[in-house]
Amino acid sequence: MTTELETVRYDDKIARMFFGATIAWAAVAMIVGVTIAALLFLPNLNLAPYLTFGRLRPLHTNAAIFAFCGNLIFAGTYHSIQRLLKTRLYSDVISRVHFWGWQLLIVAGAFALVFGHTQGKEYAELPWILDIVIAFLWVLFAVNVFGTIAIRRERHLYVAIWFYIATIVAVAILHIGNSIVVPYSWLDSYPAYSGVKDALMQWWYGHNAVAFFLTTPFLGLMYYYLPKAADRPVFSYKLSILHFWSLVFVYIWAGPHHLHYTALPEWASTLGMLFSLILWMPSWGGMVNGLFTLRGAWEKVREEPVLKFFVVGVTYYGMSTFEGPMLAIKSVNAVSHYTDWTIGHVHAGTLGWNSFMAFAILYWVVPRLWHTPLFSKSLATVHFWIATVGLILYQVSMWVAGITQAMMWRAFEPDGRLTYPDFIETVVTLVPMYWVRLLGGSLFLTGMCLALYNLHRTIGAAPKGYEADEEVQAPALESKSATVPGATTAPNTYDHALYRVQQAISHGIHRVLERHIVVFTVLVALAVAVGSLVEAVPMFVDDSNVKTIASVKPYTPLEVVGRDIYLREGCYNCHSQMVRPFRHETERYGEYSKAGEFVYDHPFQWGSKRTGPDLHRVGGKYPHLWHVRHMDDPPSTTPGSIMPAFPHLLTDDYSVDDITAKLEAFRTLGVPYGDNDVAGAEASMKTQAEQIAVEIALQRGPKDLASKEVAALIAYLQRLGTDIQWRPVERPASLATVAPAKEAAQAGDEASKKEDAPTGAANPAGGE
Amino acid sequence: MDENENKLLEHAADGIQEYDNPLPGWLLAILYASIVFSVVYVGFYALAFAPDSYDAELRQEEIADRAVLQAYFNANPLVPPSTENLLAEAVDVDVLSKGAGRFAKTCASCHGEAAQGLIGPNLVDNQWLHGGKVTQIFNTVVKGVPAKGMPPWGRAIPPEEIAAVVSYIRSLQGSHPDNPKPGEGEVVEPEPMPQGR
Repeated sequence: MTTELETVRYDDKIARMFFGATIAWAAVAMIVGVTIAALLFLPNLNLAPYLTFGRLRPLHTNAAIFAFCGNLIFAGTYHSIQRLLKTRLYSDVISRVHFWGWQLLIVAGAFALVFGHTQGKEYAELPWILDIVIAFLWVLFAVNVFGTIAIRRERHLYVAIWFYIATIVAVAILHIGNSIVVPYSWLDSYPAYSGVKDALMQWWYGHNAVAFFLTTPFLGLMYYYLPKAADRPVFSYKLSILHFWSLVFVYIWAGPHHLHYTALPEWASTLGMLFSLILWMPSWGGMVNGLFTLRGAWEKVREEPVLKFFVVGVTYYGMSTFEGPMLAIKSVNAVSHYTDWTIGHVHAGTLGWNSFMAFAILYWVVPRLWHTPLFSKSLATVHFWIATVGLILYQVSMWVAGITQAMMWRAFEPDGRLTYPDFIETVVTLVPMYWVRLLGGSLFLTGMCLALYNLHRTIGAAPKGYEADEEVQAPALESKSATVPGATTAPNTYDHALYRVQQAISHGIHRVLERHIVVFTVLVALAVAVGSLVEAVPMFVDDSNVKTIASVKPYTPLEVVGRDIYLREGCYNCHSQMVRPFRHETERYGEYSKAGEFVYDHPFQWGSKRTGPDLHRVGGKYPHLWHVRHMDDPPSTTPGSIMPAFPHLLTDDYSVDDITAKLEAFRTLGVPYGDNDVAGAEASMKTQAEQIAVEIALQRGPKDLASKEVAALIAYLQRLGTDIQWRPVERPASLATVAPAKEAAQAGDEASKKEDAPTGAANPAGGE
Repeated sequence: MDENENKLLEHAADGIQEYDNPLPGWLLAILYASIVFSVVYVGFYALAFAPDSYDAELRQEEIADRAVLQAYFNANPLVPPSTENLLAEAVDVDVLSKGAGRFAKTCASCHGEAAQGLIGPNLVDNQWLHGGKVTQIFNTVVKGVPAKGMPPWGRAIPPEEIAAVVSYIRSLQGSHPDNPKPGEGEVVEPEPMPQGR
């Protein structure tokens, strides 16, 4: 056995770069977060067209997930993997291209979102061309990590690295799977899937972005930094194995719990719910391993802000991974879905778990990477307490807001009327809670500013020569084919092979697996693939999952353009297009939404939050002029409305040039537009827009809207939900059936689909 | 906690050691329970529910709801207001303020804040599209004119409030708001108020 030591120089510069970027982007993400918390309910603060809630909310989520958390993942992975494997990173060049590429990507993405180039799918909004950049940079990350593993000096892969591998593999699969599109320009595209299928793919992606971007990499980081900071051994290696594999296998199935009671087939929903329940303990395995590792270190928690952040971070991980499965139960979800409860849940994870873990790691690692003590430990402790109070205010306000609104939505009077038929009533009730949330978020941001100052001063105090890479001595990788001690036969004989097998198995089968990186990675990919395929394949091959409806036709060219405006303005951030099969929803909005109604929706726009009312049955509900006034100045039609104004829709011309490219893209996706449809698209747009403009003028509205974006948007909104015929549910008795006079000719007897606002709950004032 | 109770693995990763502690029993128990529950649930679901059960559940609920409502209306029959009621209330200050409040909240967005007509028709002149008698106006509000974008408010607003709005509208007859919308429909002379006016 050779024990010759080799010198290893770690690449600490790249870690410093990524950790520095983490701090900067954390501040940006939180500033945008607090900003949109205000824009949400103080509409006058919105600066249309570019700085509205609908465009800035994706900026916040993308900045928080991909800029802040993304940089931390790369920083922590690159910093820890060198030390865990006792080798320098595989390639300095790849590391640098990765770093600068990622920062440029973020800046480009921010511009794209503010200028309205979005794919219209949550957390996957970035334009297709940037998706390609993401994929490229992710491959670089993978090459660097696997390259480093290949040149390692440690045979054994520590648990943190298992989680890094799972992250790399799963995020690649998810990102590619959900980003298949047909472009119609350099920045814009339509997704390959539509309606129900798009929804399934999106939430397979969306939920597992949480799993494999916000959970597994952070668990990996926890397994390195927490025992380091606490100077304690990890509680249980067996638990690491169990919760790693169960998490990787089970998580991927849970996506459909975002789509309970929608047009998604019920079997998929059921799978999503059950696997979410099973996911509870695999998730808690990570919490248990984290918290129990601190056994014997609780004294230090009192003193060390780093450990305080770890304790609350890991506890919040436990809290939100209990809340998640609970919210995934169908009957609970029936209440929580579309409300602020979801927002509260997400932030328990992102603020409580991701941010607290990030702060813990930063306060621990920055002094080490810059070779100087933390500028102020007490300031870090103040940060901890301010952030904790802010977090609790955030969460409690969202719980209260969510449950309050859900209860108001479903309240009925004894005579069968909705107690709150005006949606706006359920909105203004929440405003005090939105103030509390703003306060909580501001406190959290204040803490972030303290961190910024503290870390800045720490870095500023770095001694000369801190840039030098850390050097350590490590033995070379031991030979894979260990020989039998005192053997007399050649190493390649059966004796030796048998000995090696015995040795390997004596440490457990998983110990063997940890040494075989290719097998390990393939198994991770398989674990992720099983749930994905079981849910996706039947959806794509079995037509009974999406029953077609003959009367559902593709959108007209003008409606296509209007729909693109709807996407561009980010309407889906506040409005759903999915009436669930509940009595209070069919009473409020109309007939519940059917799978077959969405077959031409590339992308689907079901939404996940109703800050405003559902829009799937809005078609025909209001006169055109109502929409014009509503877009121009929402409170003019809906007193108390918190919707931002979109006055530019009345002054900007809708785009005509790219309609052919758009329709051709749809044709590629199988939308049945004929040659004549494409050739006559411009003429058709003009005719439809002029008809709308004439009707608006007849209603005494503005007279010059035929070429304006609002005409296209109205065309789309008036089309929504009108492809099927439906009638409001009949009541046994109502004023309408016992009202006195027979003499008035009532237009309301028409049974046609034009029978708008049929539920009666409909209220012009509810159009918020 | 005494370290000797926990067996350490012989290997360390960058100085991080790992105990070989057994899995917590409660964690395993809940994990197994959640798996057993899922199997049972799927069995129950497969046997007890038909496909399309969202739809079936909703329709069942609607039927049950109708029965409850029927019973309610049997006990509390709906009595539409009479012409006399509506006119009498058109001079009742309390009723009028209630009607004005509802008008501002619900009607003004289409008919204008002073009922001068906007998206919807002028309500202060003497021309009416769907009948100008107070009971006819009441009916129009209840049933709406969906084809023209007016919802059937009878499903959403309590009868007393609709009556109050109608009385309020009657009280506005002949007023002269700014920027009135030109009249539409047939001319109907307003029914006389109890005390003139």
